Amino acid sequence: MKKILSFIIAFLFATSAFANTVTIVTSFPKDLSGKFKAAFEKKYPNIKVEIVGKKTTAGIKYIQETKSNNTTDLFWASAPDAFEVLKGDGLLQKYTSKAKGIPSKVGSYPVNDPDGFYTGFAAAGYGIMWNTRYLKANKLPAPQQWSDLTNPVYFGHVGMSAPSRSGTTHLTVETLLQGEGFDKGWALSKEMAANFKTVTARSFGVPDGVNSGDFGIGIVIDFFGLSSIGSGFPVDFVYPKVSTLVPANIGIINNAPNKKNAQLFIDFLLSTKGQETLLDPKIRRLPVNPNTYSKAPKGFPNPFKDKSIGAAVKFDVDLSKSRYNLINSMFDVMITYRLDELRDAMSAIYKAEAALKKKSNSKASALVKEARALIAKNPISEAKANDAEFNKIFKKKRKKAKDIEKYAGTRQAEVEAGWDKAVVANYSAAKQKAEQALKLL
Amino acid sequence: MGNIINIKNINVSYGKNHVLKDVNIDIKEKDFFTFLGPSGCGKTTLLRLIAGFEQSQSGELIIDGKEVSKLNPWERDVGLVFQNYALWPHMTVAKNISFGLEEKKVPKNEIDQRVDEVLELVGMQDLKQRYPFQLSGGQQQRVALARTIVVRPKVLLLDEPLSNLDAKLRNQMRIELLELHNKLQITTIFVTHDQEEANSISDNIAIFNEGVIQQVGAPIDLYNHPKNLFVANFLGTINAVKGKTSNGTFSDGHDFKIESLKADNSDNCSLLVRPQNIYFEKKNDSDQNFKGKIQSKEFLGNIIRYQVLISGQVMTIDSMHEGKEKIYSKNEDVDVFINPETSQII
Amino acid sequence: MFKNLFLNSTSLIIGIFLLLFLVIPIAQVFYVSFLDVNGSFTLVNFSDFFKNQLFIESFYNSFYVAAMSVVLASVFALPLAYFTSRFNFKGSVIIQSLGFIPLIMPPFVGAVAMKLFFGTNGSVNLLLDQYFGFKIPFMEGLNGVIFVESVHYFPFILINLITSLNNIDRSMEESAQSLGSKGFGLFKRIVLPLSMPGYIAGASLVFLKVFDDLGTPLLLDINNMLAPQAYLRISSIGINDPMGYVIAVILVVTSILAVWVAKMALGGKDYSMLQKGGGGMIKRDMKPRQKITAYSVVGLILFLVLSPHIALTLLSFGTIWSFSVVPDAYTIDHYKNIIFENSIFIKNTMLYCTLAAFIDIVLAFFISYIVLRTKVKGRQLLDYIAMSALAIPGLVLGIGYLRTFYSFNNPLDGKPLASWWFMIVLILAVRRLPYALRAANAALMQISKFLEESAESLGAKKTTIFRKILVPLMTGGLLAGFITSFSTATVELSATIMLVSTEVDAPLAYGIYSYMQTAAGRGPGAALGMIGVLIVAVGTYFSQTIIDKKYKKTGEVNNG
Repeated sequence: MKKILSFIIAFLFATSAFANTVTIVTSFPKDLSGKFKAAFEKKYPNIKVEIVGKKTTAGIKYIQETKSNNTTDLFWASAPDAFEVLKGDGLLQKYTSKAKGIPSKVGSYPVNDPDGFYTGFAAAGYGIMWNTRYLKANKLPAPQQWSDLTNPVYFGHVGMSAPSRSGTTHLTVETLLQGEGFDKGWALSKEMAANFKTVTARSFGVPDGVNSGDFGIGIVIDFFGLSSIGSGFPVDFVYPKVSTLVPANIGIINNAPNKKNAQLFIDFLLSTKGQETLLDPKIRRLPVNPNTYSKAPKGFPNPFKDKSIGAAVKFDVDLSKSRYNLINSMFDVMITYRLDELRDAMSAIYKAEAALKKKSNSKASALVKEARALIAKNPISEAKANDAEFNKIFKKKRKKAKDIEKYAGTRQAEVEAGWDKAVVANYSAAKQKAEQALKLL
Repeated sequence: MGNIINIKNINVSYGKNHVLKDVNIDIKEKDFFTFLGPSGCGKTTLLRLIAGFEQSQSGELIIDGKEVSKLNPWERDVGLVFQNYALWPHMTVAKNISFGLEEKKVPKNEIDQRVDEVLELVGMQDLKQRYPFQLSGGQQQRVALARTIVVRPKVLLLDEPLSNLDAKLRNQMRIELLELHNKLQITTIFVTHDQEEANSISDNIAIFNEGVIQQVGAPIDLYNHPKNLFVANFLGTINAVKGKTSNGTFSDGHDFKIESLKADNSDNCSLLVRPQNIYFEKKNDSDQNFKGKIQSKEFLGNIIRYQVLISGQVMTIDSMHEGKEKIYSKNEDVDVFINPETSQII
Repeated sequence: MFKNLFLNSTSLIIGIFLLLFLVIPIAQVFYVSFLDVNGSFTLVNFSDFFKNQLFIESFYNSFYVAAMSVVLASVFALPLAYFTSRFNFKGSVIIQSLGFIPLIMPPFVGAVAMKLFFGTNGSVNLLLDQYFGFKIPFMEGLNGVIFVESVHYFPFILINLITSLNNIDRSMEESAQSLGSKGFGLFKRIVLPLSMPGYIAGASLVFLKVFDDLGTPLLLDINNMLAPQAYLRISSIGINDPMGYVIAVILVVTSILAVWVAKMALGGKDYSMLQKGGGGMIKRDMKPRQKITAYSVVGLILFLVLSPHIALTLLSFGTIWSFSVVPDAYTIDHYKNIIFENSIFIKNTMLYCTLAAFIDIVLAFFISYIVLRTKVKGRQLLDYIAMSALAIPGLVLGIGYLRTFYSFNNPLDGKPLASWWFMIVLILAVRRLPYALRAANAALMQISKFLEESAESLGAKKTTIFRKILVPLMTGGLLAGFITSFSTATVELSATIMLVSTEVDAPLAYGIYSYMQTAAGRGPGAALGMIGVLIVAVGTYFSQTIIDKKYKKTGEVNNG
């Protein structure tokens, strides 16, 4: 009895406080963090890497909440805007790596934070992946551009995650909005969404669905598509024109307990070995060192050679940051929560348009146009969406009442409820108009 | 009145277990008929056969002129009251009783009327809305009866209805049962292992042992003229002595002799005498006087029962306890008279 | 005097333990749900909840899914119960042993595999489409959750139904038949009402478990239900988000309601008391045509019940499984991965569950002794609180722990207490305590009081009595309790998912969840699931064997 007890107590004490560690909060999956951890520990056998896996938003929360008692050394995630948030809160410390051979830009985007608070180590773009067996069985053509996805033939075959659930999806949507313009971008998003089979709960749900053949096409960050191909799934991937390359980043936390080790880790990421690790079939992210591409497999995209990738949109990080939560809300209210209504309305429009192809009728055409306009309509204007004061309502963490002075009483829940009402009304009106049009044909 | 039930050559077996062997019984209409016997003798099996819950391997079962062996229980016009009453716990007394009438699609107001009638008959009108778990054993039994009577079956089958009641209640209930029977004039078959019960209320009794009918007849006939030792022993205490009979004289092969018997010669027979038919007296002009010695005595309230040694046989003698008779003690010598007319040879 | 001090202080210590690790976290959850941004009491969070379309929808969906799961599970169970109770059916043996199978694998483990089997382009539908030209939307949206849950819980309802039916005295039916009733009418008026209480008790427990389940919707990517919403809100918005707490409160209230319904159903009308004998329904022999139907139905339902296990096995050995009936090829690499390269999950699970089970049997031993053998004040309360852990959804407890222990720091390493791995051990222990307690109670009740009293009269102290008499005699029951605690803790997800902060500390169930988040992770995730299932199966088997053996042996000796 006593022996066991003392053993247990010793065990408990033993598991706490390691000698030489580096603690990393990261949103990257095991496939990536694990490989880098193994490679780093191989190079530095006396340093132990502790991975704390958290989704991007949860990770930010965690670092914010533990700042008075910080035990994290590094924050390692895709979305630059996440780093902007931390930077703005003063939770990062400056570091410029000594690694060589890293250019200043990838695509049209700077690799590192110009202020030096975070470092880019890989680039990612957004695109479309599909399951070749699925498309073949359903006789669907492979899409190439975003606008292709608005084709009625893809109705019920597309999957995507929501910006609120996935930092990378958020970037995709923000890219679309910045590339096509606010109103046009939302219209395009909704038209694509009308073809959704599902809005997945997490970003991984999209490549997962495409890999398993649950749905045929997914809107994904590139490495999801590329690593799936690398893992042997019968899938393919393409970058549409309106895309951007955004670096995935790493930054050292202010008051990091193991600052030296943190710096070593960043250097490792940017070293030759580190960059080559990105080519692993289960990882497949775009290295920022152009020389690494010589080791890449055939067909692997090279943004340094192929200038078309990610050059079309110059991503405005500040804009993205300023309306981050609001965009999440808009997407959820207009698309995620009302997917059924959206699909119903669009389905009616498709039917009407199919009929219009056979028989022309100006009244019906007008009705269908109105229907589409109703779907495209947003509950707020671009100006309001970019308004800093209005955006304050969408702080998910409400610390003090005076943060929302100007819009006192209009809390996030209430605003969203108002939007929801408008959206439901629009979609049902659109459906009615389309049905009316169909009747005329 | 004719026979309402004819049981002809019925055999029932479960695997190797031959439970009813070649049973033949005719039951008269409106009779109170009892199946009597020890546990496992087959009496309940026969009852359940009549109800339709057992199958016979051979034989015929005719109820009111119709052969019913192939009919399902719900197609026969008989009512079975179970030993455990089998009241449905999720229904009130009223609902339990009206069940059968509802199955027969009797109109509602008639149902209500008949339910009330039968409740009054069994004295349970005030407990109409109670649930079975709120009733005592005796009350449950009445409801079980009422439930079966209300549908006016041709035959009422009662499976040991009194065995779950305490002694006093049992006596009371059996009188009530008899009264009910007289009022309703319905053919009733009553199963019991208690001979006193059987004797007290039956018109006729069939005694069973190990699946075979031993004797059928009115209680007093069975008592006075048992056909075999089993029947004799089952219905009350009896003295039985084995021996031979020759020329009207019975001898046990030793000292015991009874003369002037009206019986046939037999090398292997039994002499049967009831305890109450042996007297402590000396008859003057009879040669059936014996000398006996008291072995033991039991005070049973209304009688005093003695075990007396008579010519080598220990016999039971019952003496009415009227209060002024002589009470003998152990080892006392007594004069004993056995009346050959009340003795029987089988 | 010493006796009282020892017992009373033990009772106090246990009380404090339960207070700290069960009562306070739950109380916290309730408390926070009534706070507004400034920390004062308000109902605004609840009104926000009920004004929000998404939450109302989630509430409705959770309710709908739970109800439909009960319905579907009953639909699976009914024909089998009917065959077993009404007929002399040889297949009954198979049916009876079915009750055991789902217990060894929680629904979420097989959820992903089920999607591959029954999804729109899964094995079954591909075959259906190929040969018959149609598909069945088994796994679309909420259907997926309903389907997985009902396949998991139907044997529970089956056993419940069979037991209820077997408890009906034969004379109940015969007396009805004698009065002219037969067939379906008889079933409707007599058999059904009499079996209802038992069925309702079972059905409400299934409802409760489905309503609270976090793992299955999470792994099936269904977010518009209460449990996943709570999890998402807390994990993405933070532990200060009131909505997570509001949902937790609703989950607890519903749980308590369901348990209350179950108790009412059984308590109010204990029909079995009135009926002396049981014996079940009248059994008939089957005609040949009925036999064929029966066996085919049994076969089909057997297939459904085993489908998660089959699918999981295929997935754990498969290389690529995409838009095809079976995987492209097979490999043991996934098992190699989790046993050799990423064995941390298994190791953590073994450690946590062993510690938790150990804590459980120690607690259970003392609680059952104090409740059954002493007159210590407040002992009923102790028992009641320990057992109440059954009604608390794991998710709610997890949120409670986060909230309660986040602000304190672990003195050993300075990190927040809530992220210390030992908290996972504690939450597992608290959640499994009711099972261990039941086992301890059963074991103690088998032992005659006189055994202890005779030892006392010979001068033995309480501690000696525990050590030399009670513990040895209760070994079987305690061991069974240990194994039950251990094996069911192995696959616990709802509570642990809230507390796992780093993958180094993650147990098996979390590992499954984490693996299923990567493209190449399905295989290893499935392999991990299989290992979890194996542990539970072996554990359950041993636990049963020990109970059977021990009680056959000691039952005769200790009657009293």
